[in-house]
Amino acid sequence: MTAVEPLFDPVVHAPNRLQLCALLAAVDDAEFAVLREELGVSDSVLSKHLKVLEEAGYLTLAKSLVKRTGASRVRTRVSLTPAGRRAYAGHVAELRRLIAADPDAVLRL
Amino acid sequence: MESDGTNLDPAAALGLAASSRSAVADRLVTLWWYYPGLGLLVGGLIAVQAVPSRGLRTVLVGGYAVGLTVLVEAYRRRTGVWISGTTSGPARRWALLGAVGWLSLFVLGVAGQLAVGWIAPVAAGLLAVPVVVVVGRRYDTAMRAQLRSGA
Repeated sequence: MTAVEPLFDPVVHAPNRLQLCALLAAVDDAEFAVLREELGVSDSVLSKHLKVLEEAGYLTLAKSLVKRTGASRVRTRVSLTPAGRRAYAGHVAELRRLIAADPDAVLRL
Repeated sequence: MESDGTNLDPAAALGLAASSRSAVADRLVTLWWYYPGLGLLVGGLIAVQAVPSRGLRTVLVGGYAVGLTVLVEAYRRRTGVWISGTTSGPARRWALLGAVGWLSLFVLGVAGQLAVGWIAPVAAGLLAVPVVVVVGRRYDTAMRAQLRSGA
């Protein structure tokens, strides 16, 4: 197994985006509604964070039309890209390195 | 780097990530119908070797592919997440064990058919159902533990 290089990632570090990456790193894909529910944020807030991660090349969005009893809605599935998985793993490794160096560390960013 | 005025508490950040992984574990429910359905599909794919008509075998294999797609889609719709079994970590051992068991039964079915006839792939197919159910449920349990442990 390749060792993960600890690397602080400013795109990942925002709490909502860190949560998103942690959720998505554990699965192949997750639905938009699941992410919204787990983060406890509005559609617009979630969309904003997803867009930041998408623009960084860390995730992909796959939209499909779902028809049910006459009505139709768009289902969005979200998955981390290999670059996103590496960035998240590196960020977590850096957090662990910081704690190992100083358990009480709080960094001013 | 210029400060953006926020603080980073590494321990709190890791705690946040761990709670998100735990939330995924809570969503990874073992739906009662999923593994029996998968077992029937896998068992059917093995047993289909007993069908003498090549054309009918092709149709049945196509049915397996459609059935698998429907089953996976139904699981995704119910849980909102999908974990394929290729995710690294301790739980992957169960996915590999399931794949090895399935392939072994497939080979046994083929070899047995040459020796004793159609009963061999049918028996191997029937045996595949409980194997998939047991290994699949063990995989889910191991994956939930893996997600909660942060492995």
